[in-house]
Amino acid sequence: MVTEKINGLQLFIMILLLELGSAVVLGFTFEAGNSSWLVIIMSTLGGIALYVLYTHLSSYHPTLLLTQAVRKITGPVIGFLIAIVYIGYFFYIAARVLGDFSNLLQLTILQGTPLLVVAGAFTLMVGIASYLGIEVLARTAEVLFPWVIVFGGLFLFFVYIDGLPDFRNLQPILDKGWKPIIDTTFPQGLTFPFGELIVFLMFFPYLAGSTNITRVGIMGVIMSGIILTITQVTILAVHGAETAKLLTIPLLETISLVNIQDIIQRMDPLVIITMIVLGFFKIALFFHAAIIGMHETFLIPRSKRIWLVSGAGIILIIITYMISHDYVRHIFVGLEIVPMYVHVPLQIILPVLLIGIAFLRHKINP
Amino acid sequence: MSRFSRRKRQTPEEQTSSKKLDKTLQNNLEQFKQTLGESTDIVIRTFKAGQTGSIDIAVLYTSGLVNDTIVHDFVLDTLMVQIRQTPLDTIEKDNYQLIKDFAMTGGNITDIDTTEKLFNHVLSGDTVVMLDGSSEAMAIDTREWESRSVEEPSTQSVVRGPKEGFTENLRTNTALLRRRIKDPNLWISTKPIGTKSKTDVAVVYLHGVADEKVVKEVTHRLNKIDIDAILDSGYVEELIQDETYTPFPTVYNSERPDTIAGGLLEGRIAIIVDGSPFVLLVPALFVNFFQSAEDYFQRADFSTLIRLIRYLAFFLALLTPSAYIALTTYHQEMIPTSLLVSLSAQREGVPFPAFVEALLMEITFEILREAGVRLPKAVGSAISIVGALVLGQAAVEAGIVSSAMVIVVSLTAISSFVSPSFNFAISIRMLRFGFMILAATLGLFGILLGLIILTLHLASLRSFGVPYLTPMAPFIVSDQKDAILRFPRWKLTTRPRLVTQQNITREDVEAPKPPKRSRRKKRKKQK
Repeated sequence: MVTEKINGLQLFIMILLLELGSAVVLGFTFEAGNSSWLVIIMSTLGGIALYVLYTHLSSYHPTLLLTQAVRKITGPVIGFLIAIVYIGYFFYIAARVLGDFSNLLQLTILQGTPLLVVAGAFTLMVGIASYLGIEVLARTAEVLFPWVIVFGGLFLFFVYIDGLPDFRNLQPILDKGWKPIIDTTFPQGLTFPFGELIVFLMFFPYLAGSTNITRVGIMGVIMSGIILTITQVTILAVHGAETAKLLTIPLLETISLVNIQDIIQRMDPLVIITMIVLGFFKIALFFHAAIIGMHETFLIPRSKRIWLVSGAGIILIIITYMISHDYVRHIFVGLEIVPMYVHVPLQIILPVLLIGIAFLRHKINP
Repeated sequence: MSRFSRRKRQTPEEQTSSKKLDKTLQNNLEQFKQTLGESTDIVIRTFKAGQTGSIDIAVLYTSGLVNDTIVHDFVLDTLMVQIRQTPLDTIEKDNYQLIKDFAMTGGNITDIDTTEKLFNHVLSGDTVVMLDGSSEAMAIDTREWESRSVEEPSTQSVVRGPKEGFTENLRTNTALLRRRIKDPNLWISTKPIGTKSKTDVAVVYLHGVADEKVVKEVTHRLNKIDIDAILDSGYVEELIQDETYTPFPTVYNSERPDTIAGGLLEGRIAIIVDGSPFVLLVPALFVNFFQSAEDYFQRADFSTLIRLIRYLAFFLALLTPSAYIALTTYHQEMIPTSLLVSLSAQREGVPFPAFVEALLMEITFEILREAGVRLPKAVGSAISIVGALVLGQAAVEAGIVSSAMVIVVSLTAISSFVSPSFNFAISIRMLRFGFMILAATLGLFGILLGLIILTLHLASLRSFGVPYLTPMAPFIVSDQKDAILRFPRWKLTTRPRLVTQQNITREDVEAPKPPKRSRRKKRKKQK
């Protein structure tokens, strides 16, 4: 069934882009104060554990998509329901991320433009990407990834050259003890962004045979953890925890402070370009996961993809508008409700249950 | 044998062969004249041979397509003068075979037995000799016609490197390639395409280096072509390319034998079309359109720099007008204040928004360029005057456009001339307008939207099975040596990986180094 192929490097890059996606732009949570960079390190460790969990789940049926595998594990009826739940979940995250980014663009560079237009433009890109398939998406990731790295590197370079970071802002370490750190790590830090790796259960079957999924993926998670930590430390050092908490887009506020001898200034496009590219990939990966899930679950042939993608794209815009035209509420739901009541069950509890059932089946009926 | 299979076997014969030649010369000639409508460039010379003059012979050729000396000295002279002494009519043997085996001095002789072959040979410049009483005729290769000599190519010119270019003659072109690659593995197969034009199309490749699958695919696609005439290699390109609806070329073309020979050595396949100096090369990748022949003749560091400039020019040509529109219309805060003040001072008198201004100038420039190409050479200088004065100074002075806009348009124009491939530059010209519209509607976000969709599109393209963006996506480390950068020659040791999988190693050289003193001493000690 699967004719498209992606390789290990492409998986690595896609994991990195997905992880950096919302997190680097929206900024990780600053609730834990001066030491909130510790939250990222702890979340990364948790993320590695989650990733191993997912690869273990996929190892029971390495050639099947998540939506196919659940039917093998739990039987056709319950499996079908779980598959639909996951498709809906991926679709919902796509809509949520789309809402995030559309709102951000509206706040920063497109003040007068209606949310629907921005979301529509994003959906156009995502729809084309999904129509062309995962192989093309992976190659596009390979082309755009160097730009993200170069722009990110320039960002750090300029910020440090200008002497903005003041590391006294990070002291004292653990000023409020471990409690706030652990509180923000679970569920918020762990599930967003690391738990979102569950979307790759839809892409593992596309990997070329020789790839070591676990090793490549863990490298990707560690790498993204490092990048996120560096960004977080920089932002904290520039603004201090109390100010950083109040910023909408910490990264953008940081770069706009850069002014080196009146020559290097107004570097905002660096961040905005990175933001759009990362946002595009995150939405595209979730949207595409939902699309191939629908193809497979509802037995829609590949030749009808253009209709499926167009229909899903329109629904995506509508849902996005419904959940995120009120940005404050959108953020509140995203940070307070979704992690606990949506992410935790679907990213952690259900996969663990599935592994348990698969393990038992395997034992009884090898 | 069943009826079905018999019919199947007959079909190709029915299609290819027409009538067999008749035994009587008179009938054959009459039919020949009738079919050709007594065209005046066809020469039919009939005469009698043998000691008693009892054998009727006819010589047919097309005037202008043959070398007259060869026809006179080796065909007519042989038949009319030298054979006269031999008692042809008294010997009891097949005269046709006798003449062919003992008398005819032509180099390349083919037997023909059908009328269709007869027309093919006569109309391609062969001289055909027909004998009364024989149902076969012989075609002697006497082809020669007026053609352009090998000149310096008018496109893709270089400062350093060979100055030879392909011509319209297929054989000259294959010879130019043979002279560069004297290897028995350089295989050339030729096939006429076009029901009316019967243009010879040659597929050239290095056997054992080129990917067999791609060779098969090329031949397959060429065989599928069903068209009345091929007048240029552009026809073939359009009929064999992977994707029609894309602004990017997936077939490379060049007038330079060194470029094509270089491509053959990398494992690519060349397609030469008779009558066109532009030879096609497949598979063609995105990076190929940024490589010039001269990159390999100059030193590596310099070539790398030039290549980087080409990529920069690509982005400038594509994005300068749209970036100008986006910045002045949407993101004034991103422009340094003093520049912003001067820009808005310039634009004060301009009646149009930046988008209209840019569109106006870009379209004017495109018209000017097109006029420059089609204009007779004598009036060419008029164009430059009109361009420089009207577009530059006068438009600004009249307050129609701002002077910053003129700079933008000039930069765009010059950048789009940098590309070594003309057909690739055209795609940039087309896309530029799309980006301008996107920039005018969504600003910076619009430009990025366009760029991401463009990247998606490029990533989805393939040229004869090879992803178009190779070696960037999929990323291949070993091919980076000759993609955006150009490594020193002694490091270019392998052929591109996705283009060919066989015979990968090209050379085995070490970096040139002066011998080290210490080593010499050691050797002396060993002795």
